Amino acid sequence: MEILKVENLVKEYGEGDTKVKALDGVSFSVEKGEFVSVIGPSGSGKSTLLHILGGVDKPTSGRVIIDGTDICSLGEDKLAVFRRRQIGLVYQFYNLMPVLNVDENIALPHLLDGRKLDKTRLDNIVSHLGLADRRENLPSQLSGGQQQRVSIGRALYSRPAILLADEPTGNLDRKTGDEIAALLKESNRMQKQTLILITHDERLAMQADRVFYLEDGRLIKDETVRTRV
Amino acid sequence: MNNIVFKVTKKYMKLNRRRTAIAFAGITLMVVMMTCVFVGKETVMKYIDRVASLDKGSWHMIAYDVDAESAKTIASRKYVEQAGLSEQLYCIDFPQTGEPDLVPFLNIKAYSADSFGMTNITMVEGRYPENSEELIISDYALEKGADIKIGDKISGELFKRILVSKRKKGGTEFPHEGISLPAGGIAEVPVSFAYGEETESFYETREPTGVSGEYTVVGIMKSPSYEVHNGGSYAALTFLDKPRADALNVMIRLDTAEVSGTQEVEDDITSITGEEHDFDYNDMLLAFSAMSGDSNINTIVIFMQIFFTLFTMAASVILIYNVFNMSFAERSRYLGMLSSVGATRRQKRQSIYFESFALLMPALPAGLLLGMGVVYAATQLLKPRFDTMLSVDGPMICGDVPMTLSFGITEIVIVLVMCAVTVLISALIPAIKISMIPPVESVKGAADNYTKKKKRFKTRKSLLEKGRPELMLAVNSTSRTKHLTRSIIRSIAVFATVIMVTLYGANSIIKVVEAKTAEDGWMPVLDGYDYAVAAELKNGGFDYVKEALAADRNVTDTKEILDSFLSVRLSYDDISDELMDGYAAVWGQYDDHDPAEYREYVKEAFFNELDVYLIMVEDEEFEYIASKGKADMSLAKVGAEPAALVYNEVFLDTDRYRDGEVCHGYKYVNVRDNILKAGTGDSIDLLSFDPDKGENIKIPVKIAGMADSEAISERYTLSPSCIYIFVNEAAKEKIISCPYDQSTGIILFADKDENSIKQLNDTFMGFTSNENEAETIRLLGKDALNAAANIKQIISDIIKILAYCFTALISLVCLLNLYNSIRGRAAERNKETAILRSVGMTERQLTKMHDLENLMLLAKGLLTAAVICTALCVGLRYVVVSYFGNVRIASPILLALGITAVTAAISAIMTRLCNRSSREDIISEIRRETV
Repeated sequence: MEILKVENLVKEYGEGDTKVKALDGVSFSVEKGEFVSVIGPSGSGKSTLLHILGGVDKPTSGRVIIDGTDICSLGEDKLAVFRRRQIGLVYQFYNLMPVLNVDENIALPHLLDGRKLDKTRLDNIVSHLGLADRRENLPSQLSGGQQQRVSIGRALYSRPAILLADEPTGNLDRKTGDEIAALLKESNRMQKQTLILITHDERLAMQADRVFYLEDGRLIKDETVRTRV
Repeated sequence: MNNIVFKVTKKYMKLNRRRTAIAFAGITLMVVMMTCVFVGKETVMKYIDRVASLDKGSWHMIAYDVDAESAKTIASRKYVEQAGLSEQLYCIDFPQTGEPDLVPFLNIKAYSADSFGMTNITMVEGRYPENSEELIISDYALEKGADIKIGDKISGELFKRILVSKRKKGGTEFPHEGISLPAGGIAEVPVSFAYGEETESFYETREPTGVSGEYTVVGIMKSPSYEVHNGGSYAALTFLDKPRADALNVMIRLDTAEVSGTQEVEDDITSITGEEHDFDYNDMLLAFSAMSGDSNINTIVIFMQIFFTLFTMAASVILIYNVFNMSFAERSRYLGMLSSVGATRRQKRQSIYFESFALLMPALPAGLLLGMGVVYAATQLLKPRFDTMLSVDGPMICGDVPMTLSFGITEIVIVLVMCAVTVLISALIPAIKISMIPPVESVKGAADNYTKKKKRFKTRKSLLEKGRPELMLAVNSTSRTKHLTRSIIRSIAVFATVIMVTLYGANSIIKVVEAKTAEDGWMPVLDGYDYAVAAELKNGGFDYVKEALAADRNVTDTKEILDSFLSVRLSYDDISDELMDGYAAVWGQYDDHDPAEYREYVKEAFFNELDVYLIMVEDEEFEYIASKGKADMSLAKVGAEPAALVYNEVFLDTDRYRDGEVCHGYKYVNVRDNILKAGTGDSIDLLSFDPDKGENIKIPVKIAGMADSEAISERYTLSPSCIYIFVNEAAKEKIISCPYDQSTGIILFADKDENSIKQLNDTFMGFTSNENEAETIRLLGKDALNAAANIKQIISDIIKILAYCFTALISLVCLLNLYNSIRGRAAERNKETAILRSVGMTERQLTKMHDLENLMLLAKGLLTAAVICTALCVGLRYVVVSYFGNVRIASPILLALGITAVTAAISAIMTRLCNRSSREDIISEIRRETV
């Protein structure tokens, strides 16, 4: 079942001589439960692609259809509601709310949707992420790895249609990075969570079902990985 | 600039343009306010000084009968800015007079050159005298028909006017103010004494001074302020070139910075000459130099200056401190970087001081110039108001006196020092705080939280489980980001506190001045009427006024009010025990009085009768004010039997109720309700003494009701140090028919035609001066009735203006502070907002969250303000009551509510304005690092 369809996506920055094409006619589709990694050199448009997929950035042209909804045609408020229900975003620099503790950060998108807290799910996520003893700490009191776990917890709590991770291990040491990667893969495997991961780490990328190669804003290769490491 | 710390700081300031601009604006505003306080005060005071000088001149005091040697010593004193000598040469025959039977003399004084300038001697024609043989004469003499011109000669013997008693025995007689004439003795006649007044007990003669004079008239001067019209002599001045060795008068203009009061000068002069002297004071001028004989006024002027300066400093400190505090996190980051490469704590502190003073340096000239501009604009704007106030009493016509900026190097230095101190204080705490942060915490961006690493932040389960994300976010963000929220709470608290305390303080000062200036008695409120004319009821004066008004077709509406003028009394037996105890308590403050003996005392000393103000009004008026009070309207209706409405409040204090030589401390008693034993529906007897029968005539009236100030204030202004009783027409008829009644009448009337008013005034003046000299008819305009009519009241009005201007200006600083805090917090949270949007928060939810945050911060700020305001207002009240005593300052509840509403509205508007969503993409905002 196709969960994501991208059609001829173009993103331009600047005007005239300074115009830069960050994405240049990118098209692809992703099946539900698939794990896709996107790799490419710096400036190839990986993050731009992910932000557009996550509905936090707008394309210059093209369409992004997630679970049957063209998110590019949604107004601000509808897009916000769509984001909190259907998309989980994990950033390289975590982007947690500094004033909320671990529990509150994780439950935030769910609460924003006006739904009551599912305490069991929260407990499960927190303990699964290994944050049980840090539940009442603010992000500033956590290590980078712990913050990224919170970020993943926040992205997964609402059971989104698609989980987007923008270099989630890029800011972490190798061991912690591996732990985070394992968590993401586990969510993909165990809960059939569609996962699109941007990374510089080829080793991690090769653990995906498919790998997209991006260069100068163009999707130059869409490779299916046969064996998972 | 070689200092790398300063270089980085400068760079940081450039990058953070908005915050730097706000800090600069704040510091500049502080300089503006300081300039306004000091230059403004100096400008206004100098202007008033100039205006006040128009009346008597620029001298502050005159010491009489000083010898020449002592006069020189006095003139050389440090506190003397300018000194002039004068000498009284007494009278000379003036054959050219136009009023030989009334004013046959010239009263000649000799002035030194300085004295001419200090007494505002203005020439109408000719020039000042240049030697002791030249003379100038008052133009009043010419006005009265004197046949004199420049070049004429006047010669003769100089003499004193003397009164000689014809009585062989008996005590001292006081034929005129300032004259004590013992039986068989003589007394010198003051210039105000009319010529030719001879009675059975005294006659006037002359005593030669032994000096003869031959004078040439070289000029005609405007009638000098000291000239007394109809006093037997016209004023004339010659030049003092040969001062006598004794009996000189020294006219002194004081250097107000060198002396605290006239008493100090008096004591010094007494110590120089070794003898007591008479002194004369230019009261108006002294009052505005905070050196008047009335210590209350002096204290008020000083109190106000301290109050304004302290508040300016406090508001500025909070503003600048907030600006530094808001940027604490970023600042600690770059200073942490510097620290990690070797910057010392001292260097980190220096960075803050550098920034403060880098902003202060351009702010000083800018603020000074701007402040002077504000002072200039405000003074030009307010000049007509000042002119009206200062001209009310007539003698000063100040429209021609320019209101120019006045300041000296002292004011500028004070402003500079105060501003530097304020900035230093503001930067001190942030500098110390920032120097204490370890570099690693700064670099990690955890400077704000580094002290609470181990603290746990409990999940607010109720909010989390009930699914109230906006509230949860609002609660957490207001309680967990102290450095951002504190500045807003502080700003709200300061905004509310400053306005509240400034207005309360100003109101207190105004109340002090009003309390000190309020005369016993009452005034009608001229609501709907233009003028009032007052006349005595007896001897036809009042009827004359009524006829004149009735004959004037331009008079459209009249209202008649009579006042018994204390000729009606009440028995002390009718006074309530509470009020009697009040009188006793105040009386007990004097000498060795025992309050327990007060009742016996009044029985003996005052025939057990108490004077009251009886205000007799028309029935319609009586009915109206009764309806405003708690009255029985069946007794108060038009055409009712004799009825009274009692003003049910009396305020007694030792300032007003003097009964004894020595007062053992200030005391006041305020009696509200039950000032009489009788209540509504009861009858009381008003007492009017009949001298023929030697007993009181009793006029029974029914009490229709009791009225408080709220009921009365719409129509009358009362000074509640006496008992006031309003009565209707039926009671009035009985009272004015009493033989000893001395009522006066006031008729309020409306008349828009200025010519008609002039004619009426001439008519009244004609009646007063030509036919019935005993009669006094006074036509009063709105200004005379409603505005200030003496020095203290002028000050009261000026204080009001200054206080409101100051409040407006300081509110601007607080407003800037509040804006800066809210804007700063919003800017710091741009990234947070973007994160919230990225996880699906809608605009509506964001707005709701911001509104909730605002409500919480507002509540905390107002709560803080309430605590501080209460403390400050109570403290202020304590200070005011301790220093000034009889001040009733109402609880400022309405003011507090008003300020709460204004603060809430401003805070809400600013929150909405500052938190408007950025139009940038979410991701750009997330990526953007604040500098």
